[in-house]
Amino acid sequence: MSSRVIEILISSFPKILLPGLLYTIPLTIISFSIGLIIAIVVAIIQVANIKILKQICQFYVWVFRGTPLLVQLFIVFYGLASVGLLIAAVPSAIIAFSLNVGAYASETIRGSILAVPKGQIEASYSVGMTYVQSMVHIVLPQALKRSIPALSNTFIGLVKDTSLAANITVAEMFHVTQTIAARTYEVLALYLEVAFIYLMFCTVLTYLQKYIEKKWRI
Amino acid sequence: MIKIRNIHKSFGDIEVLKGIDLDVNDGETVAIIGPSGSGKSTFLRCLNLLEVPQKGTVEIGQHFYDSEHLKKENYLDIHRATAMVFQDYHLFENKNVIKNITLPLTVVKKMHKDDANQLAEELLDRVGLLDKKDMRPSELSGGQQQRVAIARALALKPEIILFDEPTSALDPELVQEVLDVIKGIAKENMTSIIVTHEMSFARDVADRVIFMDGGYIVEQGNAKEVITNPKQERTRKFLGRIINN
Repeated sequence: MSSRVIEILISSFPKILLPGLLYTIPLTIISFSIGLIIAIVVAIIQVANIKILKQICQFYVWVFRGTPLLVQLFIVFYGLASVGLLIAAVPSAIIAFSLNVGAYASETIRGSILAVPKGQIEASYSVGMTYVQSMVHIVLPQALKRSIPALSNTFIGLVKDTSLAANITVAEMFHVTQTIAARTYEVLALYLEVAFIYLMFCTVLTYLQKYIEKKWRI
Repeated sequence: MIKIRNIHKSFGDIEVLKGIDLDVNDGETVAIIGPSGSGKSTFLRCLNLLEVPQKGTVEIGQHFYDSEHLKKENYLDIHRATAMVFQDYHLFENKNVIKNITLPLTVVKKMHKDDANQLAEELLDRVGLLDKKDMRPSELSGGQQQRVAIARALALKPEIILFDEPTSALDPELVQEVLDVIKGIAKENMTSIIVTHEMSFARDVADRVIFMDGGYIVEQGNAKEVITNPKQERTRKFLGRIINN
């Protein structure tokens, strides 16, 4: 490797890392949090079998799992703008990511709710709890705990998927890398560098997942 | 006073309960014995509406349901009039020992947290598990879990406690500690129905024994009499099998 390449790698490192900290991570955390709330609501509506709302939720999951995330981003950012609904790049990304995560995670949580042993639910009824009390105090806490390994998957997937936001002008890590690569022509080295940074982010998250799983005894 | 009339329950084509009538007096301890599949547990679960019978009425003190005219509020009303101790304990996995007892008190009975804690500690002391109050259910032995489950049921001060084979899932050496707790409850005139395979326990603790077979009550009477000197042939056969084993 020539000294020029090494120099570019070193000088670009903070330039790529900074948008990682400013965009990639906040984008991931915000979108995941909103997505998780959507997922819990959608999962409960389906399990509780609430008419009409249930059909709407099924339609939502069907659409957002059945279309590419990149297309969803383009529809929110470019598509809506073309009919006069202008949403800035970062909010567009948050909307698309949240809805996408919500659709996937709702199925994870729905499965976990259905996997809570029947005995736990019977016990909650036998002590006189209502359906809602049983859901809030017994079923959901257990279901969410069971969901953690699968939700961690979704979360780590989202970290990497945020790179798609580069396509709608969000200045996150990959976008910045593309800009530097276009200027220096060190395509391979720079893309390997950004890949390495994504890998580091995900490594930290994997450790975090292990820590939570250990602490919560999953 | 508990009055149960003409309970019929089928699962698909299989009729499990074929018309059960039973009265239980206040403070009485009734043991139900009988072969597996005779409908004992199903009958017990009909009493607190975990199963809904196709036919029949149940009256528990001021609480009543008619299975052919069930209203939504019947479920909650009957759930709250009764408490159940399950074969597999079913302690809330996401709560520690004391929370298993206090959660229903604060959530269902709207009891103040301090009062609930005090009551829970009294009951845990009574079942000999006060030192385990901060542990997780999974950290306890089966016998200990079942004693917590009994404390949880007692805390609710129900009209009746339903015990569904409370010692059947336990290792033999853990059975006695649970039976001792139940014996204590029976002495205190808590109304209870116990489905059990422990014949000597039924004989010594219950006021009355019911023998069920094939979806009917075949024989009932004074506990000692039914178990030591049954009148019906089917009861004799069943007891003979059990005792010879």
